Amino acid sequence: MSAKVESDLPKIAIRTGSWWWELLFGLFALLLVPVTYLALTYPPPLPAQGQAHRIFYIHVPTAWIALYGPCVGAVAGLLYLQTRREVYDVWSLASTKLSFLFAISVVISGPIWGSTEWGTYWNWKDERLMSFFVLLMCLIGYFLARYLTEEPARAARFGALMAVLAALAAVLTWFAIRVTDPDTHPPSVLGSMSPKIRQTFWISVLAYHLLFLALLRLVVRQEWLGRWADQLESEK
Amino acid sequence: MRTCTYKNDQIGPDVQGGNRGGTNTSLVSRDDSAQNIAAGQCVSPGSLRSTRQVLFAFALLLVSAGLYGAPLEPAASLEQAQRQARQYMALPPAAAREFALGLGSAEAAALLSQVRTIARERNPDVDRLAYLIAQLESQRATELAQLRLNNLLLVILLTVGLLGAFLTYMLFAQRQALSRLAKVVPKEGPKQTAGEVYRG
Repeated sequence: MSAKVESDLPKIAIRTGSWWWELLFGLFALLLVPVTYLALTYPPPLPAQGQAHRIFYIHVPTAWIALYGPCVGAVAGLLYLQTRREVYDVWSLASTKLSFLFAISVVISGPIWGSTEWGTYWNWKDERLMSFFVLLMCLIGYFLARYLTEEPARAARFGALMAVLAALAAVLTWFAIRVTDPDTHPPSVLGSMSPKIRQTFWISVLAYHLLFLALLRLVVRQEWLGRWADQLESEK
Repeated sequence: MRTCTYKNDQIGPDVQGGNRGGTNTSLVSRDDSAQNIAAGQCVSPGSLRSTRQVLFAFALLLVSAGLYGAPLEPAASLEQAQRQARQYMALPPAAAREFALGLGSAEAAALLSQVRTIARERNPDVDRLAYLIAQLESQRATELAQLRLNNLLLVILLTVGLLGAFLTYMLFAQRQALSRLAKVVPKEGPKQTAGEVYRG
């Protein structure tokens, strides 16, 4: 591994300000509004869950992103460890930040949904819930390791390692309902959805992934701006 | 024209269920004509006997079609519902519950109607119990639906709030970074090409 830390500032930070990118990513973010309306009106209510089943169109796409995000962060982290280029560290950090945001959304929507369907907010014996809890702890650990380390290069290294750990937890969570029979969390329903539910679900997945891309760009840009300001302040 | 009234046993077992038993005024005109024909009141006295027999047979065919043709399908489904109700009543409680959980609302309503009819024969007061159960289930269903709707709205509200809070934080952080940059970047700007100037 190269010990030399290369700085990608400022050339990457300043290449993000094109107006049509702003418009495109703005539209990505706004797509969530019609998709939410679609989820509220298009699929019929399920007899077993009534209107509560519409939480599905928020909970599952956000959960997927909360699982993909650490994997993106881990790949970027490994690339950082290999090359020591700052750009990979920024992508790893941005992806993990968004994973944490979406994971918070999952642990909010899941227990609220479960409260009526399972009769309890949380089940400590459920493999899926516990593996997701471990993932959440790994993400919190990432930020603790990162922000409690003063030296930036060391913080980036710790962050990369924690991102890999979080990705392993994400993979574990993904397989938890596929290789075990969780106590309360239902198994995957991907193959058994009715046409209207399936259409709405995939449109929701698309909308949340576009939102993830829009937010990722925003976070990456903000991170570069902060680092650029840090660099210029330290040079002064 | 005379008004004809048929007893249940005259109409046949297929139309005895529900309100199709007993007097059936919708069948009066066709049936009356047929009877007249059958009685020979609507044919001339000079008609041939064979013609009368043919007409009689035809009239019987019409009457049969009128009486038995249209209500066949509902009557068959009624029989089916009665048979299903008897089978349901014979199931052990666990199996009956499992069976009931798989029913749609229309099927459940039809089955309940038949089960009540059967149960009423055993206990005349079963309707009082049924009214109470119906009221309780209706109230519970309404309350559960409201609770589920509240949960859905809460999830939407919290998700929007979470994303809104994150976006607000990001915008403030960006503004702060730009403010810091404005303080440290000299007025002529850093040495860089025009295409690299940040415009975000």
